[in-house]
Amino acid sequence: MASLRRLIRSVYLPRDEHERSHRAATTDFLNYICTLGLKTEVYLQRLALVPPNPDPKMAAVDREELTVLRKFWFDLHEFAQPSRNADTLHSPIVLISQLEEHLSRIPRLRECRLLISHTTELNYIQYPRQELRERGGEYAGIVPGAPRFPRNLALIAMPYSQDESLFSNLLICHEMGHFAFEELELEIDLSRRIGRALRKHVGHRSVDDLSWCHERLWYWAEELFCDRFAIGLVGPSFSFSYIELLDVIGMNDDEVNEFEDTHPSHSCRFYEHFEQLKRCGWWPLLDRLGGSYASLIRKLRNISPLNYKFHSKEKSALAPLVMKAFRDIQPYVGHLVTRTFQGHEARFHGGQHFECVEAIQKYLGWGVVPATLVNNGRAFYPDPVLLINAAYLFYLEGIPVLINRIKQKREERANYISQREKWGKSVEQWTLKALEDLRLPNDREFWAW
Amino acid sequence: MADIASRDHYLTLALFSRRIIKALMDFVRDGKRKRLDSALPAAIESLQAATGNRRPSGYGLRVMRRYDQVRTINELFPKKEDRTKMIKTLKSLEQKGDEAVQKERATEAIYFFYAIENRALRNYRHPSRPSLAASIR
Repeated sequence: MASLRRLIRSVYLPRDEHERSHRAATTDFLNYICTLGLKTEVYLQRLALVPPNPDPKMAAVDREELTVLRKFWFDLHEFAQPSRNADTLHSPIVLISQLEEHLSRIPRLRECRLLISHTTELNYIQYPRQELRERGGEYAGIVPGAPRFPRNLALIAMPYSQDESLFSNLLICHEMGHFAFEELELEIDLSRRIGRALRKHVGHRSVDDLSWCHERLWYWAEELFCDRFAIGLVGPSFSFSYIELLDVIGMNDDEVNEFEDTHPSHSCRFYEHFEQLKRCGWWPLLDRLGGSYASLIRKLRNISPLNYKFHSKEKSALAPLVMKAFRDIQPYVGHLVTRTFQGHEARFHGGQHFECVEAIQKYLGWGVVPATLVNNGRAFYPDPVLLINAAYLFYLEGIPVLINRIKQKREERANYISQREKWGKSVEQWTLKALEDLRLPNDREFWAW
Repeated sequence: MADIASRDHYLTLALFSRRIIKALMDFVRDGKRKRLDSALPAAIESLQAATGNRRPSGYGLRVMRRYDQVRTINELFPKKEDRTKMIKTLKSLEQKGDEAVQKERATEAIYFFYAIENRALRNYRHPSRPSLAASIR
């Protein structure tokens, strides 16, 4: 018991020698862990007073409780310090605040908050809050007085190395999709459809087999939902970020068509990206300025679903059947996304939006932070989503314009990669600064609305 | 890239089993039914979800929705009759009856859930990376 108490204290007590500043969501979460720790200590003290059960079998049952509690704290161990580390100096606060604001526009997701933690993986992760909440609920059923998991909290881990980035952190939007999926309990609706598809394509099987098939369809559909949700939040910049991080541009046909146990193939996912971008009117912009990334999305979208592949070592005979069932489920994902946003998706309207994008890119091309755009002598501010997308497109296709305007030494000109990296990073920083400025109170007019 | 792993499904199952065990213990040792009355419906529905060919709803949907959880129970109690028998035992505990008989049934249920908890803990591994985490890839 003493060993368990020591473990618990090592998790919930702050380990920092210096004060850290956190967002309110992080503070709430850390307080939750602290209260859990204190209540567990009291519980352990009471447990220590209970005499051991004389029946060895029952004594073993009693003893295992400590193992369960220990594993629960093993689990929390993964969240506590990484959440403390993602303090306001080590996470993209401006972007997080902006995304929280976008999320709050969606009906039933108002007042939801993002809790950012760090991970050593070069990946973005959403910890299913529902699972955490359930585990917290079970724990409260064991340890009297243990608090419930804080409400409206999305737990998202980002790579510790990307705390200054803007574009790669747009992948957080996909993780927010997982949160929305859970929070809106879309699983219940989806489960009914999955059940129908399984009856049609898989037929009567054991509980074990059906559970496996169900889980595959659920995972795949949820992933597609999250991708479309992310595009609904921030437009095509999410697709660019995905292509860049996962290096989709360098993949061969086999790689792009391969389904995994938990994720659909890239080709299937980009089919959905294409459809969501089309639905929200982004293709005229991509056709004009999207370059090679837009072409890639189009190319992947055109791959026939018949080329999708799924091989399972665990249940190989069921793999083709579950793929057939998936074809019945896939069209429903777009419907779930539309229902979630209820018309609040980020859209591109052409016309003035084109002018706004051109103005942002012109500013970036001259190394100017595009927070205030002047047009015919009047000051405007851009829509944040338009700003992010215009900047990302400039980052992908327009950096040479910027580099050519800068007087460079001969050795600098020779090292093009380093110049591209340097000015690409600058574009990100200018865009982040513009996003920050947009959050300040101002009396400028909104461009393009 | 992180993948969705099953580790945390096992932890959820272990915690769930322990909550049921605690409620049953309260009854066996002190005759207290308060925790038992709230725990039994969850235990019954979850076992039904792991037994029937129908997708679970309510509590069963929450605890028995993952393949790893269903498989753990099916591996431990492969005979459907064993699971069905335990469902009957738990249902009988919902009724009031001869206390000695009820306590005997509750003890039987404790060992049943202890077996599940034990297996869930054994399957639980502690990898160095986050597990039940929905990553982009």
